Amino acid sequence: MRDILYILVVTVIANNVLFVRFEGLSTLIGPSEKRGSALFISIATSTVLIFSSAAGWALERYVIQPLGIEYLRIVLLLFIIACMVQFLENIFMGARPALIARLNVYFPIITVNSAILGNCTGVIEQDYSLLLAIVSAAGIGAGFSLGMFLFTGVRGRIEDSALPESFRGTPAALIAASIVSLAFLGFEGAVSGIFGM
Amino acid sequence: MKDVKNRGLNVFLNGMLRGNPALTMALGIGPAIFMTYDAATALYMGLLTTLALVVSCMLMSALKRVLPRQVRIPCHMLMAVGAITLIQFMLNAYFPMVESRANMYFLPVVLSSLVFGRAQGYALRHSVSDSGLDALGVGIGYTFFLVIIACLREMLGNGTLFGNAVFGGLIRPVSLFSMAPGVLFLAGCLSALVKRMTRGGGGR
Repeated sequence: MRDILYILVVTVIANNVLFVRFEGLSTLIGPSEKRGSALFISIATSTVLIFSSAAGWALERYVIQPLGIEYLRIVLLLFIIACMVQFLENIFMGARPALIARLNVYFPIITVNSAILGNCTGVIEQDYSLLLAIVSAAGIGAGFSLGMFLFTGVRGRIEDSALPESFRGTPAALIAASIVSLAFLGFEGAVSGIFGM
Repeated sequence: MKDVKNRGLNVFLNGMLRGNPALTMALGIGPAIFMTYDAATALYMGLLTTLALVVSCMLMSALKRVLPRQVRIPCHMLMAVGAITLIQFMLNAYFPMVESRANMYFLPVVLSSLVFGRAQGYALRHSVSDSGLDALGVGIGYTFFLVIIACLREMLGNGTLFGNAVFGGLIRPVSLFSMAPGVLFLAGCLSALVKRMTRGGGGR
């Protein structure tokens, strides 16, 4: 129980995937412009995270270790993640074609979110059980969604303000992201404070 | 003949500045944070990314009619990993001195959303030669972007440039710039600058 709580606090707040570890930043800047696409990207990323870390856990235990092909680990994990993203895209292409069209390249880019691969390899390196693997994936997904949600609010305020023409859009978003990440530095001591480590 | 040449140049320049996804869409900004600790690493990483971009975009463009849409992403992932591994082996064979570095920076290039996003967004809709030229432009633009950020970061955050002290202690280093938020800040300023410079002829 304590393990689960610890993983959740660390991944959601203290090590927030977007603003402290800076993983998956490219899916932050573009889609955060519209609330709908931000929500959709968060859900898709969390889904891919959870399923790929479970699949990666099983792959390591039942394929990679018995066959002794550790040198193929990264490639296999990347392939699994890419398959997950493609699977989701095929589903949503049928259900919500307009949303996929509006997201343009941002949907396929979920594949190269380093947090997803990072979680898969981290689970293997630290020898987590399947439950802990899924909890840590869900925590990272929740951290991603929290960051996305906060940043969409910030973006909304920026859009309303009077900016010089050349700063509109991506430049202002990058500078805002830098300031939000400074705010997240304030959580640095939170883990040792709560868990006394 | 002249038209063809001009068109090629336009595609190249558009990829390099005005349409460069690193500046307009903030793709590849995550790896940029880890690649810009010092200017030499940034230069090396930029060139590696350029090579990977050109190979992966041209492959993707050449195979766009063969691959069905439903399996595009996994196939592209495997192709990109294969191409980058090959590039890395060749670099190791011909320039053994950078070997230790190349191994360490394999993943950031594979996971650079610039390489992946440009192949998915541009190469799928254009001819092989166009996507090759565009990839070259994007890669060179990205290399400049990385080197400029790395130089600024070294100077402002550490007071050095290529390892030599500059300013002679006149300006005190600001540690913000050696941390990751400083990279985002500098990238935002650079992106605004390029946007201002390339705003259509005469300005709107």
